[in-house]
Amino acid sequence: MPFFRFILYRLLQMVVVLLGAITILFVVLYLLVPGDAAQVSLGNHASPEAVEALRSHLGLDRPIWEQYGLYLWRAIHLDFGTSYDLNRSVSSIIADYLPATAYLAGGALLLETLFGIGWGMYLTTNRSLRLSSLSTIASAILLSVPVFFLGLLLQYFFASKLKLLPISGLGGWNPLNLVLPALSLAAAQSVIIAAVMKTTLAEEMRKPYILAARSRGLSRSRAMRSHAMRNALGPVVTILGIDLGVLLGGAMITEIVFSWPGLGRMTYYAAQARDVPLMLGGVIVLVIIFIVINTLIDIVYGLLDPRVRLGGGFGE
Amino acid sequence: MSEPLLKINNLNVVYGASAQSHVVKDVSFALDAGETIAIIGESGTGKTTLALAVAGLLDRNAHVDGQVIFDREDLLALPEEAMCKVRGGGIGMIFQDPRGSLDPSMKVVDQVAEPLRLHQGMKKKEARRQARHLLEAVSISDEVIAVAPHAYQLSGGLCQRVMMAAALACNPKLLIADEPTSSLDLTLQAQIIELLRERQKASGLGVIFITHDLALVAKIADRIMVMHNGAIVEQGSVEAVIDNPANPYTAGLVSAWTGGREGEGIATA
Amino acid sequence: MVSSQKALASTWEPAQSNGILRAGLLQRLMKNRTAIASLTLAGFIVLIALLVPLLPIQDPLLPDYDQIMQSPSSGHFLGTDLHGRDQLSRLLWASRTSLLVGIVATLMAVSAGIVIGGLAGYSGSIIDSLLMRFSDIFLSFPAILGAIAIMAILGPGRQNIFLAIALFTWPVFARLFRSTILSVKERTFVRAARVLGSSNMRIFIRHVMPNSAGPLVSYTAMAVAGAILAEAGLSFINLGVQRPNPSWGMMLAESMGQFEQAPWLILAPGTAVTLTALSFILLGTAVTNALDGKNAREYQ
Repeated sequence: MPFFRFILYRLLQMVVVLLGAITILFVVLYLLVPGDAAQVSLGNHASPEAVEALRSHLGLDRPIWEQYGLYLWRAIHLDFGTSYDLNRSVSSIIADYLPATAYLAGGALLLETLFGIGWGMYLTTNRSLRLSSLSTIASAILLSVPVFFLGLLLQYFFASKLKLLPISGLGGWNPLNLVLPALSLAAAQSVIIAAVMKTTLAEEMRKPYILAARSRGLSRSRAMRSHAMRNALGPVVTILGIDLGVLLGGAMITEIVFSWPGLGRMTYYAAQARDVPLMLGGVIVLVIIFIVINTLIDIVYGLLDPRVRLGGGFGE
Repeated sequence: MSEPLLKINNLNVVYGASAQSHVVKDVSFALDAGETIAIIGESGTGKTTLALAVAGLLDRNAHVDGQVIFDREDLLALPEEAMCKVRGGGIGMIFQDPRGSLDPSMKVVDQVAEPLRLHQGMKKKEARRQARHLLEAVSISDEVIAVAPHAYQLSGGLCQRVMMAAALACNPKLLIADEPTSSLDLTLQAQIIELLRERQKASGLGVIFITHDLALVAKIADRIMVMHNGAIVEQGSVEAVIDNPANPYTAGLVSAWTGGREGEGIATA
Repeated sequence: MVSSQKALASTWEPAQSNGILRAGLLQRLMKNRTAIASLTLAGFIVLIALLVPLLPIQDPLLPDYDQIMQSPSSGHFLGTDLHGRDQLSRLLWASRTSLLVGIVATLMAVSAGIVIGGLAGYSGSIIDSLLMRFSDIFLSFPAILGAIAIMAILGPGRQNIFLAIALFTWPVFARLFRSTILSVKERTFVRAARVLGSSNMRIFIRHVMPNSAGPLVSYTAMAVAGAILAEAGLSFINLGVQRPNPSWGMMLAESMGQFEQAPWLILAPGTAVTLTALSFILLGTAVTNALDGKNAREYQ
């Protein structure tokens, strides 16, 4: 029974957050835009027909609660209307572009997990003041480099100069094409994973069960690998879930640098073309994906570690 | 074979560079096989540090010198790898906080199986089977670990039994018990002590029993060592030390205990 | 990018949860080389941004199609861009945009945080949990995605950037103030002050503010860095400042295809954003470390 209640509770929470997120966008679109939302969104050069079409699509001619109802109803049904530019249903366009974005974000998530956990472990085993300050500076730099600048630098050195890797594009899903975009997307996040990993791992290494494990003959590093690691991974998994949102947002920018045919680049061109339904649809889908995946991570994690489900903290 | 099982000569532990934190001062004693020696003293007096120094488990910033001769080998001179074989193989340890001493996310059976795989090269399955026998020997049945496989599902007393099963899995010659019963209530405490005695009778295990509880010492120890501010201030047979303390600090401990005991008597009467 | 700072900040939370402003924080900061270096760098950048209108540089907006993509020379220290505009002058003017967004968006977030966090902390019970659930919704929103969505709806422009960034940064500050208020409320001297008739405002100024000052400084520094990076990202995808006003992100976007022919067009604005964000991130890290005396404890 607690299983069901836990899952039910998390799902309920997810619905609330989803509704909240979609409502925030509604408030901005319908209430914060000064004057005529359709006109503002489309810009001053839009044709009167386009403005009128958007106005009726958004339901701007109806009372506010009806607008909200219509908006919610459509969002729930993933009905984002028709793209002005491409004259196709927005959801079908999104479905076309989604796989490339998922591929990129997945690659980056994998990279940052491997790199972040490895680096965090290395910092925990080799503790010295110099290494620690060096790592702090390096982390700060990686956190400060905008993803597009890093992407351009990587492109320049690895693709243009050294000709080691393809410069851009999906290239028929060739994994080599994934390396540079995923790397630039993952860089800043892996620093955060490493920091979380280092902190939690060092904390676990100070706990009595590590001493007890070593008293049974495990070396320090083996005690870390087979005991401290499992207990330190919890917070890291949670951060990875949160990171996914950053990755999806960053993917929008990375995709432009690397001409990656994903949702981000699609949304970018939609924004350039003032194709409001397409653009809003793209963003809402990314937000929904983020929230749903985070809920799933929480649920799976709760199933794996009963202490979370029962409300206890890690390693208490 | 008059060699003692463990002989400690002039053991000193200093933390950091300054001599200010001289935690263990010039400690020497010997322990025979089958013997139980109790180390008593207030908390913070260096008992745990002494125990960890014997097992080579102190932090890297602790400077240890002297000799710890176990089984005719100076443990302090052993490289870390060889020391890993001694820990869990020749020397077992149990600790004060039994639940905290077990990995919360690993099944307790596997933690008992761990030293078997490490020191006796058993395969996973075999080690697990043996671990179940060992748990059975400390009265934890298969049914219990099937229902409650993890440490957080077990009581403190059961956790300490698991710890004992793991510590004694490879039949070590020496067990270092660092306040193993101070977090348990009296009934559980008695059970753990009983278990310890059985094992000792069966295998000639030498035991270093660290505690601040004199009542317990009177029950289990052959000899007693009183530690104060990092130094051994008095040692001798249990009767001699308790009946006739030579050191004023020991006298204080003894009178506090007997006083406490009388107080208890009045309270329950 | 904003939420990466959020995530990082949350890992630091345990050390700061007591929120006590330790005596001598400033002294400890002054002993810290990182802190000094980052303060100097940030101060230098701010100073330049303030002085830009007085500097003898060319018009950042004036195109000169006879001088397109010139490499750095004595006439144009950082060369010229695709429209023949002076790159150095654009770079310097863009620093104003970047810092303005960083500071104003963060100030907006801090003010909203004070109001909402304060309200939640003082009122407790239902209002508290409602406000916290409300802030959860914003926290669960990937910040940069949210900012992109808002900008896409509202269109480019400075005011819109302020709003888009602050909207997803305030919950961090609301939580900070709320937790400080909750912990301060229970302390004896505050109870005493209350009994003696001190007003809530007075208690807030005398007790809550000083107690949250340490973490507030480090959160603020991180938030400024986050906002600067967010503005660069938004401008890069053309959802930031309005053309032709210079912004580092937009400068990079405009010359994205020219790395081979004119690397200075990429390197200069890229380095500028990185250094500016870096100075604030290091400042935040230094304050955090000074607060919990971490280095001293961990590597004695």
